[in-house]
Amino acid sequence: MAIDAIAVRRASAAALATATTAAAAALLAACAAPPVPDLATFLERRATCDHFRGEVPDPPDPQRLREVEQGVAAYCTGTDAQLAALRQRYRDDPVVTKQLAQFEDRVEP
Amino acid sequence: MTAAQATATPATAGMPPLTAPPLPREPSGRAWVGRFPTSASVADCAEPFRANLTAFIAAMGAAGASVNVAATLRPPQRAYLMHWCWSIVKQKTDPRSIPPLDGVAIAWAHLDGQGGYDPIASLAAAQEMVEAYGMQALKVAPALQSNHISGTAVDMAISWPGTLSIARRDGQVVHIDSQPRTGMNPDLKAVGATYGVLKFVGGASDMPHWSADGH
Repeated sequence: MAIDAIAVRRASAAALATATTAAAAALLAACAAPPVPDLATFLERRATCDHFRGEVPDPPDPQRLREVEQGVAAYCTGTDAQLAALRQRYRDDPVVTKQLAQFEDRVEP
Repeated sequence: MTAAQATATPATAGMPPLTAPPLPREPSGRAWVGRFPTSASVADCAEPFRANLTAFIAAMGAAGASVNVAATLRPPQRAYLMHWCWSIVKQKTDPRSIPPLDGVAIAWAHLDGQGGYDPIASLAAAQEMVEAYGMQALKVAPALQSNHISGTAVDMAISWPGTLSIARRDGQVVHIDSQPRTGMNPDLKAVGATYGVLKFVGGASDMPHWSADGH
């Protein structure tokens, strides 16, 4: 009987450890994944990003190139992951899916 | 295979091929970068934006404003070259997978002495192009589509002294004495809109940019 009690306690401890590990892993994954942005904010930001992608000047034009690089840094950074996250969130919404379809999947390195 | 199939003579035997042979393709590299340059001519814009922009610039000129056009049409061939050399270098796109574009006989995939694919030479040539375009620090793929590529956008610097008395499209003269005395002036933006030339909707993030739809 004493042996059974020890086994139960060990099993409970193991289960608790497994659950804790799983919860920690889930928490870490949530922290690592980029937050899903607000849809309207994303649509405006990515449209501006795409605008700057079309503004790369002929060389040499360092001033205009610097302006474009600054625009890209401000409006493009992270939008590939955000686009993927929004497509996943709204995968059952045909209107939003169509809005998001106008954007290229991958524009960042 | 049946005997009949094995012995059949193709109907086109002895005839020239129906499709033209592929054009010789020039390997990618720095030489491509000077081709298909951006235009600074309003005449290269697409109608009706061309006529609208011409009228707006004429109105500004008549009012005494200084207008310096820096860019209008960015040819799609140029966009194609910029996009794909960047993609090969920054996104590790396989040069053999790049779709062709009419009018640009470029060979993204270089061949070695034995006629086989040479990935190192292909990447080096694309890197040359990225550097010649000045895109080493660019953290995004150049666009394949834009208002500039469609001929419906312009980058121009605008300034004037004192009050600008400028005619709207309907002939009504507007006196602009507000600040700034540049293309960012809200009253001038309103005048431009009467001509179908819209200031960029993104605010001050791109000050010289105007287009047919504000993008």
